[in-house]
Amino acid sequence: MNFPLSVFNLLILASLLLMSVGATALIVMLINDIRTKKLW
Amino acid sequence: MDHQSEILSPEVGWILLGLLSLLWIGLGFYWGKKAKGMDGFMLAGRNVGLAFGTATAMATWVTSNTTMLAPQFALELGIWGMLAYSTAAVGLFLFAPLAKRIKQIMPTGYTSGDFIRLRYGSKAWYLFLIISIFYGFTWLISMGMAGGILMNALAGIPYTLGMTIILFVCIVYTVFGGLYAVIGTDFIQSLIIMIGIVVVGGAVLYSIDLDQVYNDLSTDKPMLIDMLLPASIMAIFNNLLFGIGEVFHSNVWWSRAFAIREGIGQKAFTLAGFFWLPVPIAAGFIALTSGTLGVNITSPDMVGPLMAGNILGKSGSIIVFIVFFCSLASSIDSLLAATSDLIVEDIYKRMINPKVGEKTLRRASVIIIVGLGLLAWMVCLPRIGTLASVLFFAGPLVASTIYPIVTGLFWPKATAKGAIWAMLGGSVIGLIAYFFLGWYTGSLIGAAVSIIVTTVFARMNDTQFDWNQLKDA
Repeated sequence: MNFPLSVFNLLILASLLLMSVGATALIVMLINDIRTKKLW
Repeated sequence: MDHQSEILSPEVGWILLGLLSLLWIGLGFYWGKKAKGMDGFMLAGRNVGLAFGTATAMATWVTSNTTMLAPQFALELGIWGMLAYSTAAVGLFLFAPLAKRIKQIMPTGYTSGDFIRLRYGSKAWYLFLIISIFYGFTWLISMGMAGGILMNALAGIPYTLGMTIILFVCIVYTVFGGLYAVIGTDFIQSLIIMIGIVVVGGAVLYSIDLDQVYNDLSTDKPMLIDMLLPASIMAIFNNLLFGIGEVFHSNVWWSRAFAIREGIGQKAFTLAGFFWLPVPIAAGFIALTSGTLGVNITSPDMVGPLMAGNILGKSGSIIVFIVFFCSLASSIDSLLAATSDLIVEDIYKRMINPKVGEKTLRRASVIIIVGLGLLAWMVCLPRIGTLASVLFFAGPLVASTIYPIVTGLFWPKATAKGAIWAMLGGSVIGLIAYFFLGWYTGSLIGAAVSIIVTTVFARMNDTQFDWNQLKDA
């Protein structure tokens, strides 16, 4: 039994999307930490 | 190793290597100014915020293995192979509540060794240090060798020079900046890794039709999209337990738990897990497109760089070079810092010179980081190709530490004898399984034995551990 095509597509698109969200979130968190003086 | 020809010219490779080296050393010097006392040098002041905390947990876990082996797993084990690699994120997810607990019960702790010593006593501590330092050093060597091999394969830079430069750069900025430099550079490295993989993955998606890739796979290599491929399903469990063991016992992660600001650790490790989870899939799926694009792969571990070079040309190759350099540096610096902390705090300060002052301790840290780097360099020099299997062989050892650590943190009835026999029994029986049953059973059996032994000893114990004993770390 094979993985359905929709699962194959979803897996790849979701992984790229999650990584883009991750990179954006890191930048947002950095700005927030700098703004609130909680960087380190 | 039989690699396909390099994807970048040596001139471009040297320029990139030079620029990245200067950048990390410069940042190491800059951030190093903040590292005044030992709390600053070893734990970046114990006040690291969410952005840096999340990024450092994520970047350290992205090693050259993630970016090299995930495509190879996809090429050989298909969709399950990528998913199996992704299960290593579970280690970060499960460590999140531990990070919170560690900060609460050991606010002044320095290393994972401190915890084992105070919680389980000297014998368990010695055993734990042997496992932990063996694992940390093996991981360091495997990263150093991977650095040399990759620089050679990507740009034709001689193995010895590439390996020496990467180790040298990481030693220099770790010596000057301590954990401040490690965490600061980890942030930039994690962004570069994520953006680089998204750009390459996006370009691959733009150049091909995913439906076509799926159809080609179902015709030419149906096992790669098979939902019931047995080897891949077994790889999932082994990878999962090895990953959890690696994260739970290693001072690399404990030092971050101590360094991250109170109340942030759990969130930082959970987010890091979510950001790490897609990396093996995003880096791995590129390998599955090789058939559709007609790229001939003769060296499976180089499939990622080859595909990126094939689709994006020179710019793709440059991105891949930078991503690899960042994934190597983010792990090597962390290993140098965390392993030297373990040697300085647990061996030098606790066993050799208990009355040592802060200045001497800082000097000892520098000597140990340099010494560790030099030793790793000497072991890397002959380019032994079998070290990955040594690291894998550590699977049962680290898996046997999972349960003593978890129960030690949360269960007051967990005992020292239980921890010692769990680590010993789990390691020995796990290694026997590794050699006689198959590599994929080693971690699983090591962890299972450890769980049984720890639980039996704790059930027989009537006394309760006083958590206040951990406060004077």
